[in-house]
Amino acid sequence: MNSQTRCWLAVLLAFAAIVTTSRSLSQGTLTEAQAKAAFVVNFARYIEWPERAFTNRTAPLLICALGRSVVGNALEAHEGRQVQGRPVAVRQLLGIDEARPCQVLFIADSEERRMSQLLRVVAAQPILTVSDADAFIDSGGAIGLVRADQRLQFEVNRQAIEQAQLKASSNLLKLARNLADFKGSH
Amino acid sequence: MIPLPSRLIRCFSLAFAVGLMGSVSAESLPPEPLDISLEDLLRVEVTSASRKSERLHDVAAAVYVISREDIERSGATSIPEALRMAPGVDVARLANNRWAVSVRGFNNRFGNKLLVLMDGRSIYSPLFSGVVWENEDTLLEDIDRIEVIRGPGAAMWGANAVNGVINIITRRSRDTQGNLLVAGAGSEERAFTSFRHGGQAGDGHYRVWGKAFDRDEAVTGDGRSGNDYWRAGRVGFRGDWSVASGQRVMLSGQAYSNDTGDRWQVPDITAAKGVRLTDMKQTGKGAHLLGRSEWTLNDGSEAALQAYVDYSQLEVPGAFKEERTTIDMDFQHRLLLGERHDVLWGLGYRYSGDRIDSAGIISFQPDSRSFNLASAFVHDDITLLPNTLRMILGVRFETNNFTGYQPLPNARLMWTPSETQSVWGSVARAVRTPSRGELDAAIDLSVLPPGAPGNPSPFPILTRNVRGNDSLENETVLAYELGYRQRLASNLSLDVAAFYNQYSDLRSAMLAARSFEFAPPPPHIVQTTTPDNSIEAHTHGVEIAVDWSPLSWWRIQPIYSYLSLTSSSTSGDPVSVANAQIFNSSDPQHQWSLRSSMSLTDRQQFDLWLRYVSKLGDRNSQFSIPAYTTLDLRYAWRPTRDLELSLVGQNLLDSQHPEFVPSLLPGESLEIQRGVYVKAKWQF
Repeated sequence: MNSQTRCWLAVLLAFAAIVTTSRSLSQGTLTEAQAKAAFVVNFARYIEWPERAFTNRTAPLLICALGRSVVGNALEAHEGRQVQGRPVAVRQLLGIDEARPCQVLFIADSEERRMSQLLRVVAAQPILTVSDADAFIDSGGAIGLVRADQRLQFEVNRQAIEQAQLKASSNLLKLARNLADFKGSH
Repeated sequence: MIPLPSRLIRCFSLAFAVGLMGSVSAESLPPEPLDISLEDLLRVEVTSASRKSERLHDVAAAVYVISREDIERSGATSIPEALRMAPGVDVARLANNRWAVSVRGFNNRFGNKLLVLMDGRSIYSPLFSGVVWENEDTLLEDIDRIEVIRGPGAAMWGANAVNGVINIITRRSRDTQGNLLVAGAGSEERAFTSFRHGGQAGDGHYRVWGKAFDRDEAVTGDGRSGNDYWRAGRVGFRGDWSVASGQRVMLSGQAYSNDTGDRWQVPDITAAKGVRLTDMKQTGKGAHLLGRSEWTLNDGSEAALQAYVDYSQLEVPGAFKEERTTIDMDFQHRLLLGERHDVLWGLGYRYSGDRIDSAGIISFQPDSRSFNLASAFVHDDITLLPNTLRMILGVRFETNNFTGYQPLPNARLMWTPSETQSVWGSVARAVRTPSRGELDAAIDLSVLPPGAPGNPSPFPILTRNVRGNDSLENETVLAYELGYRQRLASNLSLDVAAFYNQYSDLRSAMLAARSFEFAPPPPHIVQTTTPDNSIEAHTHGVEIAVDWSPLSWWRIQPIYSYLSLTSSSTSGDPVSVANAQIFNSSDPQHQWSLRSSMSLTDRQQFDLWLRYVSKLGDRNSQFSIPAYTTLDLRYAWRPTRDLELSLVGQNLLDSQHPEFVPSLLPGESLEIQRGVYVKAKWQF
């Protein structure tokens, strides 16, 4: 095989690589932060809040983010979208004491060390807590995002959801990793 | 190297340009994250570039995290090989079964200034002060991450965390459910296999696993086989349970058996060259059991109690046999005091008792010793300005029955001017306690035959290190560090750390009594040396790590480490001067590495790892090693969702190269060979 043939072979290989990679890209790849934010907004679609959680019928659904994380920034891209007939509002919190008006609270994994103390403050309030910290649902959180190889999955703590007086649809529970055998009955 | 013909270069540029065009066009199709359903989200692949920096942004220390994905994609088949991915770490392979691993200088087969923990259990051996790397392992697929902390960690982790701490953390058993079977074979990795089963038990999960391998021998510079064979078998388990609300219990254990070969240069007064090359066999056996409980108290604070018992046996027939039992207990409590103080305090106790039978060139007196260590620490993470400025003050008090009471203080400051930038600084003091070997061992170090340089007499001179009369002191370091992190873009982050360390009372030795002996024949001179603390040193350096994902499927991680080490004798004794010279030639001044990970499709990965290590020592020193560059490549293909096949080439740029000449337990200098292996990983 002369060098010219080899050269064209290399160019051909480069083309082949592009074709295969574009194929995989068309299936969609998100940054981890974008994907986590999309999960958080999606969870809100499957949760029923008690009426007292909102000031009135048109009040926005307030998603709050606590801790240092780019997920907070990624959440802002969802501002103004409609969830359960309410516009989504996003707010970055400086401290847990600001969480009272929130319906969804995303706690970044930077707060992992004081997770149970943070959760204690919002316990029994109608707030859906979500985090990407390790062992979040073991600390008493409602939904934990977990990384499994290249994909994200989530775990649901049904007890925590009940304590917050929220109702989770069985469609959500069915997709939770830790409730894989959930059949929709209690 | 043969110069590349210009046509070939043109060809490569063309192929590269085509590739670039393709990637640009691919990149102009951004996925739309807003309207994806939950079901689709579960299927979406995410890039992981940001994860590391996100997590590390807040840490006021030089930390690098090697993730499970990093280990997998590096092709590394052992923990020390994986550690090469971290900046500031010097990993040198002495033989196929021996490593010298250190952080920020003073590398040796037993890197004695580095503390290593696996799931909270110290694997630092008090026998020679350091990690017996060939005896420490686990199922690599079960490692969640390896946290490499450069700089003193003594205020948190205790003595011997002088230059760094390595935390090897395994995955929770909930994350390792189902079955895993790994098998492979190759030229250097002759055969390896591992199996894991994970299941549910009561309110928790468990896994049991086993692994075994057989590795090939390395070669000497002139092509002879190195007698560094390695056969090992290991089994283990881990269980995690949620007992009551907020209480978690973890129980894990392991048992292993490890056969390795070695070739020692045994000093011999009857040998013409003063040494006898002797093939040795080393067997390691051991087991441990560890339990940990974590719970939340009524006031919301968190407590953890951990205990483990560890038994190990290290035997080199004809030299020594060590049996050691370690019992360790540790309690920690974390609480928030007001809005500003995040306090962590704890108490610890460790008993380590041994029995050492020795013969030949090494002898331990007494043959049994126990080591007791009690410690207490407190750390306060103080928020001075919310989300902007934090100060961390910590101190650990330790007392042991050899060198007494030690305070190990540390102060850190962390400034985060914006979401994407952080600056930190630290001042710390740490100590290394003398090892059992340094305190109690008499070792024949070398023989100078008659007529050799330095020996004008007609008799051989045997140099023997014996126990001194003076008690050995702790080695001490005062360390100053400064670090900077910035996320330059969502796909690009930078981490820089600089340090200046001052060491005092580093262990060395001095010439002592000289005598003339008739037995054993031939008549010879015995020159004894006794250990002392007669070396001081200072080091400074910079470490840079970049994490860049130019495309969603392509990640590039370059790192660079610079180290300058100067040590000198405070006594002027020839042994001490020679030892200072060894320290000065133990570490490369420059190291860089470039890792590229490509996810070509969702079923194919192509990974590349290029590493450069600069020379060790001066050209004519006996510890001299030339600079080397190595390349590892990995191609992985998943024909089905549960099966992955990979082909890995290691050290591809040369047929063989040396990486280190050990100064303790000197063996024959061996060279690491190019290797290729194939691996199948099946999850079911």
